[in-house]
Amino acid sequence: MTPASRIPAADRDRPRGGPSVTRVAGLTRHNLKLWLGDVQVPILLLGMPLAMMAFLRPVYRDTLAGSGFADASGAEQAVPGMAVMFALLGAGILAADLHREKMWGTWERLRASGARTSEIITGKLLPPLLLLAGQLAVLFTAGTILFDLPLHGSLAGLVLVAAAFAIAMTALGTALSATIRSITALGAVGNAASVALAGLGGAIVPLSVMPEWAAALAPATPSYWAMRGFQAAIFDSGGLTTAATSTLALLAMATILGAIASWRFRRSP
Amino acid sequence: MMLADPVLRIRGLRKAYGGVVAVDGLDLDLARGEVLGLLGHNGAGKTTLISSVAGLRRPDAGTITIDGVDLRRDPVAVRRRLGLAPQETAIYPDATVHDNLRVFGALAGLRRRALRRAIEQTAPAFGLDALMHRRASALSGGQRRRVHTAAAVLHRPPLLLLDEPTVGADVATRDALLELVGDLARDGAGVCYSTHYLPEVEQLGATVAVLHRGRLLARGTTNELVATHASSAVELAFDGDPPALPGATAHADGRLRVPADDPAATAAQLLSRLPADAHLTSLALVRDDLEGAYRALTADPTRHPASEVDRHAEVPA
Repeated sequence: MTPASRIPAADRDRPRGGPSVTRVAGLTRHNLKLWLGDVQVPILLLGMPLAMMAFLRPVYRDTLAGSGFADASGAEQAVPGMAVMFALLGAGILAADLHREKMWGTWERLRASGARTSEIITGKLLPPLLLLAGQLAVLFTAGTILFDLPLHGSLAGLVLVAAAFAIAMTALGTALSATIRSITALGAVGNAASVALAGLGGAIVPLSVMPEWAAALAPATPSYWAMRGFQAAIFDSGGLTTAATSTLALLAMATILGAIASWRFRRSP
Repeated sequence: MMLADPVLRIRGLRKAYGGVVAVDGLDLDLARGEVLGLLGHNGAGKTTLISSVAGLRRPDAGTITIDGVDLRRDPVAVRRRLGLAPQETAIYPDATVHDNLRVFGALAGLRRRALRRAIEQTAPAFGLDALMHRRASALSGGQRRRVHTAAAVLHRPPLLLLDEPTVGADVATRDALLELVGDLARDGAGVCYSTHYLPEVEQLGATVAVLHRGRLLARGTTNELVATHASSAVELAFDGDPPALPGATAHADGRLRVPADDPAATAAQLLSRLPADAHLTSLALVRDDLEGAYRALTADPTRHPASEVDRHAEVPA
């Protein structure tokens, strides 16, 4: 440190705070950089689902053939299923990221900054939302190129459902972080919840071969509506109407999860 | 007497956690350009006070005004007028020093060129210019502390809240930090400086507020507090009944206090005269300095009602 160097005098006439976009853009850029610098993000969000797709596609081909889809390649279940399951695990990473912000003490610092609460939330959640949307885009594109994923239905419908699912997963990660107080518990509960939601929603096993009780619970999960929307676009089973229904259901769930997160954060010390 | 245009004005502040009152009806003014040393034992209410001013804790009662803006009415405008360096180092360990400064500067509303200039000006002052591209997790504790404090001053706020800023810092870092705090105050910032290190307060030429159990015990310049409360003495504690010592008075906690012009010489005399059956457990030399005043104030706070020592009107702005 150089005591001789001095901080220049403050500009007292400068308006304080600056425009909102400065704060949101600054926080978004910062968080995006942190996410992209985290080695587990590309492995968990892209590497593992692609590997799982390659392993599971032959199994799903046989399963789908037994369910009446004789021409299925297996990618119709493997690609959306693994995309959904690993997006759920991405929600867990988001929850852990929000917890770490508290552990580092930077959460209090953000709250004491000149940023509004809405600016902090936008700057914190926009990066994971973009990454989750990017994850789905890469996995479906790779699925088409590498695993011959067909698209008989509406591409717009697929994009709509993917966007709504990314929003729902961002809300789920935020709600998990707000509800589960310790990062250790979050690791265990978050992973278990992700696998359970993926299973119930038909991401691991097609709904047609799931036990009756599980199929009855499925519509309560975001993964069910995502799988339904994605497979509507893949098989052309309902087209845009099914995609719109799935999108609305996912956005409704995102709203509920967001409300839970907001309520829990307000009650926290 | 109130200051005409304080950068910080607190009136009747009260904050309790469950049944524990952390801050109890506190009034405090801080002038522009003033460094206020906030003193008190652990649990005295220093951090709760700072957190309340920063808008991180909602007070149960009272008002806080910063740079003329009421915290309750416009918390965002208030937060834009302050810089906070919390007690615990709060930076992003996985980000570089530059990225840490950039994000907190952006949150303070500094745009591209202004942000770049602020970082270029602030980093060398904190000795960070050679560390800008190092990850914070790779820095020493003292270096991290400098990043932590630099992030609070980037936007040159009129009010700076520093909660024990030199904890974990080496001597050189501490000296330089103190010099920077002095510079910021000379430039017109009001600085609220919470610390347990009394020599830092003297080195800063700071005014002093002593908190005890959430209440303001004393407020004034170092000289005023020393003149009012400090007197050199020897303090002795015993296991069991204390012996009768000439001129000694007993504290509420049982310690004996013997006034002394030369505490070291008096201590030697007292030790040589102690009865054989007296079980001395501790002996302290109390000098007529800020530490002496602080010890006297906090040893028996009932003797020092705040109204008697709240002499802020005499503090030079």
